[in-house]
Amino acid sequence: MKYQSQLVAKNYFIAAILLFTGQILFGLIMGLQYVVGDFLFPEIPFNVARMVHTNLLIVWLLFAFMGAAYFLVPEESERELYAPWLATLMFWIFLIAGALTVIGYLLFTYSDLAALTRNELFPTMGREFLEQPTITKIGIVIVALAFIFNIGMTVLTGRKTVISLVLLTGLVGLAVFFLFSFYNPDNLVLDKYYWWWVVHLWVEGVWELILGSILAFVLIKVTGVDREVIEKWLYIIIAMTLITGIIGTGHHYFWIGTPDYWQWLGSVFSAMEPIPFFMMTLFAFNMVNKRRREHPNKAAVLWALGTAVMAFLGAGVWGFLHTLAPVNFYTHGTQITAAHGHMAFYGAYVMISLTIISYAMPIMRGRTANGEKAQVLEMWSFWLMTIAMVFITLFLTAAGILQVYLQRFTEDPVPFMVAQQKIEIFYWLREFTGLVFLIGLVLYIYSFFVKEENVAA
Amino acid sequence: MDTERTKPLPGDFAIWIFIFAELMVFGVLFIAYAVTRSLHREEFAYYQQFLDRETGALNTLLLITSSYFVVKAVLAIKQDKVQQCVNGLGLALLCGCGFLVAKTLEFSDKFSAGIRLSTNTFYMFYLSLTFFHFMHVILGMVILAAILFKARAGAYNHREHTGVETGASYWHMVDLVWIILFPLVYIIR
Amino acid sequence: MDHSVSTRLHHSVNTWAHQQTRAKRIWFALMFLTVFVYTCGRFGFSSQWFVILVLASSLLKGYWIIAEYMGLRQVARKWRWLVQGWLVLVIVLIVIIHQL
Repeated sequence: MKYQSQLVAKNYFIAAILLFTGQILFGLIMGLQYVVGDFLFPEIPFNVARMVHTNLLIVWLLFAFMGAAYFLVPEESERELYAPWLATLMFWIFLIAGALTVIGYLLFTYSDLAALTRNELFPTMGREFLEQPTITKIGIVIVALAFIFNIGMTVLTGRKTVISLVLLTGLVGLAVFFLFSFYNPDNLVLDKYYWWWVVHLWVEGVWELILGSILAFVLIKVTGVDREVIEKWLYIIIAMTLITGIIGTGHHYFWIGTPDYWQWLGSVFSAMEPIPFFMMTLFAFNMVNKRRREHPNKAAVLWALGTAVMAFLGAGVWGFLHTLAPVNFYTHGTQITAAHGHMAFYGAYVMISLTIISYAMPIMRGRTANGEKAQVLEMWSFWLMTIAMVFITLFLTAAGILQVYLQRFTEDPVPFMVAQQKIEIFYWLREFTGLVFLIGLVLYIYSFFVKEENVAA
Repeated sequence: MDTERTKPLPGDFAIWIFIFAELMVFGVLFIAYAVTRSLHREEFAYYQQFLDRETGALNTLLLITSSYFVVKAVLAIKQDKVQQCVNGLGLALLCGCGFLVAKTLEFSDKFSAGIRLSTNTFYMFYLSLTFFHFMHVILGMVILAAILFKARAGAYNHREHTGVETGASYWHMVDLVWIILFPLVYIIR
Repeated sequence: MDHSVSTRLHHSVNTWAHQQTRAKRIWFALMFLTVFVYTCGRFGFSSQWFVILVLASSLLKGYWIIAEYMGLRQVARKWRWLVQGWLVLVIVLIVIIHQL
């Protein structure tokens, strides 16, 4: 580790993995509730489990991105972090606020939580992903501002590289788009219109910038390929992302009361969104093939390549599957969406987080790479989680296709719940593969605790 | 002899990946337009009458000429003629500005007539295609301007001029796309 | 001055002048085609043949821009085919869809 202040990232990464575990547990609870409807009722109703599952995902990814930024920005800027104490302070504030919010979800009925946090003063609650009480949202803004101030000052007063500037742009975009969570108009169409700007302009816009810069950073480190080559690719990928992603987000505007032209703009531009992901795949494999050194951290290289492939499959291919307006007419809001959501989040953002954690954690613990045993274990966890996710996606896709057919496409469509009953088998299979995913995750965590002799320092 | 076909793509390889992706995007947009037009022939033919072909043709001449100046700039830097290169890029930018001015007048004319994306399918295509291309002209000009300043600072010579070729390739792509866009949207009925 | 160097220099200057002239001719041709097609349109040709004429002129102009201005004439064939293939494909598809 080159700079002492990079160490602040460690807490962020540990918190990220713990929250990740929580997310998976709630995912399993909810997966079972799909088939055993009253499981854990009334303690944890389905809507609460779903809320915790999705909110934990977003929060732990934010922890991971912040950790990644705190780790890589000092190294890129060639200086210590502007204010390490602020990073640590914000960590605790964010963690405690996040924990309180989740506890609030679990202990109170949602409407009581709204009353308790005085939602009526400034109503922002009650929308998917944005369920947090207004006070928590304000907390998130404060944490984000302090974080961007800290990172921004470090970047601007140090060596400026393409990687750190792209990362900073992505982070600023993240913060700016989050502000739309405070806009909550009465008109439902208008509300939905801006609602998509928060999480979805993140995932197909600014988060791709963050993803690209973290991937570029890790690739420079593990392959030893010239920075100029890697930065050039990064530029092009980012440009393509923004050209396709911003207007492409119009594919969320089908059939919700927005003007017709979104069907064209959304279809055409989002159909191009796989391009930057495909370029990322080419990029990662090219760089690894051109590598100038054999980095001892094989697991990190595996995660990096995995990210490039799975992001393309999950975000690119599975996104394209239902992005064209005429197709989406049938698939809108079915299990096809769930299939895409699972593989895209895992392939793009979960895996890039695990990539940087895999690369940075050993270094922060005083060695270039983990020993043989720990790495083998980590690679096992990679394959278990990734293959499990592929199967979860396939089962959900099958469920989705059947659902679309039974409920929307056939001559005499059946009601929602009847269709759900007929696709039960796929929900069971998904739940089973979810358990395999959990085993992968346990192995992953266990790999941090493997004791080994003679590990290269 | 210049028939040998061994040279690498002019400019940075990465810009070519970008150019291929851009061509794909425009290609899909063109085909989408053509298909929709064939489904709404009368509507399209009727509203096409109101497009301003004179400025359209003028814009074609401007883009072709600016491409020519860019070619001259690339040829100049290969002979270490920095001033000529700078002049070429400057004239190309001037033509680009002309394009932007003409196009802005055209857009403001349409907007003041109350035409929006949601007016009808034809105007939706007309506005989004031309505006998307308009943004590319701006991007191309930003790239050319950056190269102009670098060239003036003496960053390029007959051995090292990849940057000039990179920007030139992108600019020609913007020209190439307009060569199809203009007849497709403005002329063919 | 070494004789061979001066010959080579002379040769390269020659090629350079040649390239200059060539670029200028292409420019004239591009301008002429544009004005010509515009004039045809002005005089009210609007038959199927006019559509073919317009697209053929676009094809030719695109061909020149790719081969000469982008400089793909001197580049490995696969790249040139990729870009010119795009041009031909798009224009042919437009013609076919137009005729439907």
